[in-house]
Amino acid sequence: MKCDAAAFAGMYETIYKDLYRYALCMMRNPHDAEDVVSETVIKGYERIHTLRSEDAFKSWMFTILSNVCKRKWKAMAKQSPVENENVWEQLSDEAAGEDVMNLRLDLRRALAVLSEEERMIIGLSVYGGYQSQEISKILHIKDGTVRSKRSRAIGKMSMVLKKGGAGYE
Amino acid sequence: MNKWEEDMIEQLRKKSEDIQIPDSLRPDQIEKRLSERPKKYHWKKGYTAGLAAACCLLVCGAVWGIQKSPQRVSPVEKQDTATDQAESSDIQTAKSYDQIYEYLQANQDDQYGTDTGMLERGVVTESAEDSSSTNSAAAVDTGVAQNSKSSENAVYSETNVRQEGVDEADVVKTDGRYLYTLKDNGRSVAIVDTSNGELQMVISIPVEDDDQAREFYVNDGHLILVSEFNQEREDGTWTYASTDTRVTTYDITDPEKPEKAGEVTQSGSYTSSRLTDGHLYLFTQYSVDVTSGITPKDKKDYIPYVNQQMLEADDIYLPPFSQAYMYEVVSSVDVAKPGEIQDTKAIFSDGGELYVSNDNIYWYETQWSDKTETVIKRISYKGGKLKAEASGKVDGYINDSFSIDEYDGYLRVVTTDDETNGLYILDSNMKEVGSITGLAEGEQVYSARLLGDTGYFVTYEQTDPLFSVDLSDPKNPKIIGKLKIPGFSEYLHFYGENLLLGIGMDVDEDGFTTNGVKLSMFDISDSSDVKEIQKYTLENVYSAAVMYDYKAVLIDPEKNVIGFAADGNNGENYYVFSYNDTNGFECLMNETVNGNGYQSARGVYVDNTLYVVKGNIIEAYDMADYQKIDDLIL
Repeated sequence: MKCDAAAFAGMYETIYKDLYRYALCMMRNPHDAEDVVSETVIKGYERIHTLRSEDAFKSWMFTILSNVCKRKWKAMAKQSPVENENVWEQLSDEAAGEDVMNLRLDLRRALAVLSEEERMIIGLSVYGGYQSQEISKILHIKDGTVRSKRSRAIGKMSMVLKKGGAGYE
Repeated sequence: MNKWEEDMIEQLRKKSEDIQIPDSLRPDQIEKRLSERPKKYHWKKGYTAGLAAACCLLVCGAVWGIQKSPQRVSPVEKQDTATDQAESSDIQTAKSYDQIYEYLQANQDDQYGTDTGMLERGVVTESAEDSSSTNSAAAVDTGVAQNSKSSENAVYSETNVRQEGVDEADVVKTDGRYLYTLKDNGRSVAIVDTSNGELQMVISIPVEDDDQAREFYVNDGHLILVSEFNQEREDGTWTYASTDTRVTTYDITDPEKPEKAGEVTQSGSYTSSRLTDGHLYLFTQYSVDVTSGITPKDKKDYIPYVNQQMLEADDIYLPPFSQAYMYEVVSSVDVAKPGEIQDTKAIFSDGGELYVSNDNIYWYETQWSDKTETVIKRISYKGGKLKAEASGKVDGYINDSFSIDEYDGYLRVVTTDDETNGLYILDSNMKEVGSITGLAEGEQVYSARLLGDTGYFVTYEQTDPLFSVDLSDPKNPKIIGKLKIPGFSEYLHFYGENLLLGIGMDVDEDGFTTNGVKLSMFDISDSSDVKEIQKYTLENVYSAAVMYDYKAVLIDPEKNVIGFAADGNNGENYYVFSYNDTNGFECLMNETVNGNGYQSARGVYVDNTLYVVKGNIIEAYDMADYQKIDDLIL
């Protein structure tokens, strides 16, 4: 095996669907999700020499992706601080243009009630399949915090999913 | 994770299975793009291994991967066991900068460690919620929390803090006449006069340079503002942003003419701060970028600075574990000398959290390995003098700072360890003198309040057991009561002498769905027989900031006011409740919050006017009938 594009793509193949889904869950629109995954791939490839074991590839890519998303949010917040808070309004507009590359509307609604950090924790649980301790390492927050935040994030989401469409338009 | 959570995660996964991946991200497309791309390497002084070795490692890794665990990646395991240091109760200081370098190197050599977390140092900005739950501090020590203060002619509310007598910074403050609020863009603090029955903008104090303001204090004619600033450094295709923290003090004796009185700076991003007895204690987290190939010579890249001065090695406390890559830098500043650092220590660590009692700073960090253990360091801070006193450890991790509490020379700690919970009592040498273990199998601590000789804590799986514990004999703590009710409380607050208020979620008996945010009032007059005497569910309200940020709540038992912002179907609303035993909780106010911003809304009152402040909008309500009487857009 060599550290060339083919070897990288081989490892990438085993995780790219979940990477994209995670990105979509973070960025909440297909265009940004595609961007952040592309950026992650390039960063990962450029730094692959620092990776010590293929075992760690998935966690490593999820970590890079998480950081890329955080940076992107930060940049977006600078442009318009309000943007991230107004998801409710955005959602009803977007509802019309649902497409196959996007999250289902109920899932988007459920994600919309989460803070960025909660979304990362949920995303890493759902798409990375990670336990709280691993998430704690990836996001650099305490395991106890991950657990309690995950609990309350799930509480919030369950309420939205339970209510379904009615009242959320 | 409990069953409810696991089912939800699975449900979410199923809901995303049909997502189509854009063609541009298909592995063959990626391969094509990467192969057309000139590959860049960053050859660093420290990186002698290089490409060939890295490739070899990849190959080896792959082989190992098959032998060990073909699919599962476990990045969190740490081979290192706690060194002798953790066993002794003394806190060691570094003998030299080189010794610190060894810890960094150990971290870099960790099987997984370096490559990721370090990668984007300083990019993570703490959200409001973060800063509260990770840094929180403060426990009520005297029965009823005193949340109001009076000036010459006004009674007004203060920031809800963890420890009475130890003030904490926030984004909104009042001194009984003026409101001070951090504008949403983090670029200035507005001073607003409330004195003539209407809101009047006085002045806006801009932050220094390109700083982002985080929080501030209003203290004795001074506004003490904590801000962060970035130092970006380009390195090939990588931009490292290292964040430092600045504390700027303004004399606001004349609020119309604020004057800068001094500033101090410190390496690292802002963690938290405290203000007590005329001293400010500033906590920042400084991470060393171990991936950038630093060598022992490059001290400026791995030793923190305060006021442009590099810390001495013997002001750096060594970590309990044999590797570390970040520091919690703690400085004291005499508020009368706002340009000087009085004392500084750096706790070299692998990441931890803090609790500040009336006499001590407790720094605690958890080691996640086969055994979960939390090492707690006690650092005394009298009069601004920081002194490492002792270190000890307990099994399990600490939920938040309400689960760690000093009283009468003893530290009481409630922890969750794997699938069980425990309570430990440590003496001033951080030696365990008493404990209760094996509590609430399969559950975890959600909230706690320890008060004098009695403590209460909530664990949760499907119903909410509220435990009462007798702490009067530190050597022999006893569980004296256990109340089971549906749902769980995330925040506990003593409300008058015999009442304990819980704010949490109402969960159906099935344990799967929530009905909304729930207020519970517990009668604790007999702590061995605690009763939930009243409850109130906010239907369709899925979250209240107070559950993760105690500064977001306004609770004043004397005035009989419980105020907080919560999110529901209709966005963010501000709620005010009163309470009496007969009628229970009475909702006095439920109004839309109109401001925007990352921070949840704050409610503060001056006499009989409630101000709901969020971002750039202040709304005033008459507390007689909770009708809106004024507003101001900053």
